[in-house]
Amino acid sequence: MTLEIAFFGVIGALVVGTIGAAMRISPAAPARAAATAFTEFFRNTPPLVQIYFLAFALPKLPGIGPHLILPAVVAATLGLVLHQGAINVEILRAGLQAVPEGQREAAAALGLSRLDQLRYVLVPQAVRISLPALGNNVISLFKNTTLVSSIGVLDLFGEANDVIAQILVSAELFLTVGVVYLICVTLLGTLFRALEKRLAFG
Amino acid sequence: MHSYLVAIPSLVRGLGTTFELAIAAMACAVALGFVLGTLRSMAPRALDLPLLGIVEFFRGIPLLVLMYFLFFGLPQLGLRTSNNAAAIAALAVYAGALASEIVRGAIVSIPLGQTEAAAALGLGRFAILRLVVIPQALRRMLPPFVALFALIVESSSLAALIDVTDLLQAARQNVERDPDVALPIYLTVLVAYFVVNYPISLASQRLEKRLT
Amino acid sequence: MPMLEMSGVRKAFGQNEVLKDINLSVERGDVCCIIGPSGSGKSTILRCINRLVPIDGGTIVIDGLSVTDPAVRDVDLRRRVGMVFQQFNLFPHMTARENVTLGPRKVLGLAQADADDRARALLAKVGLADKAESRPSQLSGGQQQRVAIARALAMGPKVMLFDEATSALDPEITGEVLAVMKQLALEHTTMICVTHEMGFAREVASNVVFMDAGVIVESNPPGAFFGAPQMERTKSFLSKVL
Repeated sequence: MTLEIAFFGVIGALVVGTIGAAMRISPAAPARAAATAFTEFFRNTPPLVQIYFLAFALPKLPGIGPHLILPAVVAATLGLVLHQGAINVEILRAGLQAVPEGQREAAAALGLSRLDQLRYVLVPQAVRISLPALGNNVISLFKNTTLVSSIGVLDLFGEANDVIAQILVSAELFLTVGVVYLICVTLLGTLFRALEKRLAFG
Repeated sequence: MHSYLVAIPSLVRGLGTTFELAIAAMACAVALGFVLGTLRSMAPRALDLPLLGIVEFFRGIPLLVLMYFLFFGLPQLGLRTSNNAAAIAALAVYAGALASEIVRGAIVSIPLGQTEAAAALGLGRFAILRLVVIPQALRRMLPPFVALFALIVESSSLAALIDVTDLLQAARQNVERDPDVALPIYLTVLVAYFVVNYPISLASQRLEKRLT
Repeated sequence: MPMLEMSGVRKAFGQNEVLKDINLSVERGDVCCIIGPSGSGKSTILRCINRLVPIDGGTIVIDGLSVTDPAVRDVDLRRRVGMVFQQFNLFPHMTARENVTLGPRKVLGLAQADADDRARALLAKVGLADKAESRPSQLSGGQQQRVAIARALAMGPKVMLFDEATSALDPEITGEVLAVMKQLALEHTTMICVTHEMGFAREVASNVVFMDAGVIVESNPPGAFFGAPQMERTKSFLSKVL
């Protein structure tokens, strides 16, 4: 369960991040404003509260509410996508802005369109710049899947929690669960560092 | 509407608890961060490795696992902890690991020439650190420390899961009593966190720009 | 007894042998200018003298103190040896006066007022009496380097080391720093200068030392050194820089 939520969470957060970052640097002011508002709101509120809102408050919306009763696992994944996605927007935007202005000028001087400048020149460099931060965010999303247990979806941690309720020997169990998480997180970290090396220039 | 208004005072008290948790955890984290971060910046490799291990462990483990361990796990080992103490300790250790990275990063970012120039004057290791390196490093630490505080406020919401009556837990209790207020209550809570955290992260970004 | 005596000094960074059997002697009141291509080990020699870099072999004796003797404390060595860096390395969070008084107060144990008096006199000497309360960021490169010289002089050193003190400066302002260095030479300060300023070496040096690839190739008074270089490598280097 943890892996499924993490997998869809990472994909979703990357999609949200890419679209958001493209909007943040768009020439259209309304697009920029919308992306900024989205990013700042979901970056600055706790993912746990977002998950609670999606799971328990959304169904109470007058009118359409009853159609919005999400399965717990969907609400949880969506909450993580919104939160980590908002962080990705910031990371990718910062990456785009870190590409030297001369690169954009050189691409423009060749006659590339705005979209082609992004596609061939700016985004490939921005991704390399952003990779360490994106990696940290994936790890943080993975750790945040523990929050899912609190609304009744069984993940790695939720399962441990249930067992404890029955047998009440928790110290070792929590330690075990913690260590399993730690191993996963370390593996992810190693993977990302390897990826960074591969993508590094020169 | 009525039960929403009735809920307000308890939400305000919850927000107060959230602040208490966050401020206490931040204070411990900064102290922990300075000790660990300074040690790591000076330690020879053999000593640095175990320190790095400690930092990576507390950074890598999910905060909720840590919190549950301190609250449910420690009593099993014969150590009683109150809800609030467990929450603060978990936040402090987690944020302390991050803070130590901030401190170490800031210290090693000070150019080697500064240390060399101070050493050439005859200053000792600790005098160099105290008089030359740390005063410069403090400026670089400030923006990430402010951002860390926002992260602590945000993460303190997990304390609700070990029954600390913070903002989120206050909301949960109200919704439990009357499920119909879920929408306004959770919306209020979201907005409250935003109103607290947005200025903090804005301040961090401003500082970052001004100090670099 | 010479002020500085290096014999058989060796230093390697990993596989890279930076100094191979260096023998160098500098008399009291002399100015020794070390020239040579970059990467030849010139800066490393200076860093070995005040122990910023530990040496692998050989001996260095400065004013009777052995650099390799573990009983000689860093502080005893460094208060006798002033150093001026290529990148100035002023402390950016302190004013010019605070930069100059830091060593006297914390190492020599001077009272604030005495250290301030000393700083005022030295800043006046380098022509910056009016900049005492300025921060490094408010000073030009030449002014910063002159503050750095005052900072080193404030310790009352027996020897001054200059590590390419003008290399980071725009050509039109190297003159103000060289003028201060010339003044020190006239006052018989013992100086060891790693430099690319051939005019300065010709005019001020007692001895010019040419280094290449970790060895001292040739060492002579400036007249002989520039007038009749002996070694092929010296000739080819001088033909490129003069």
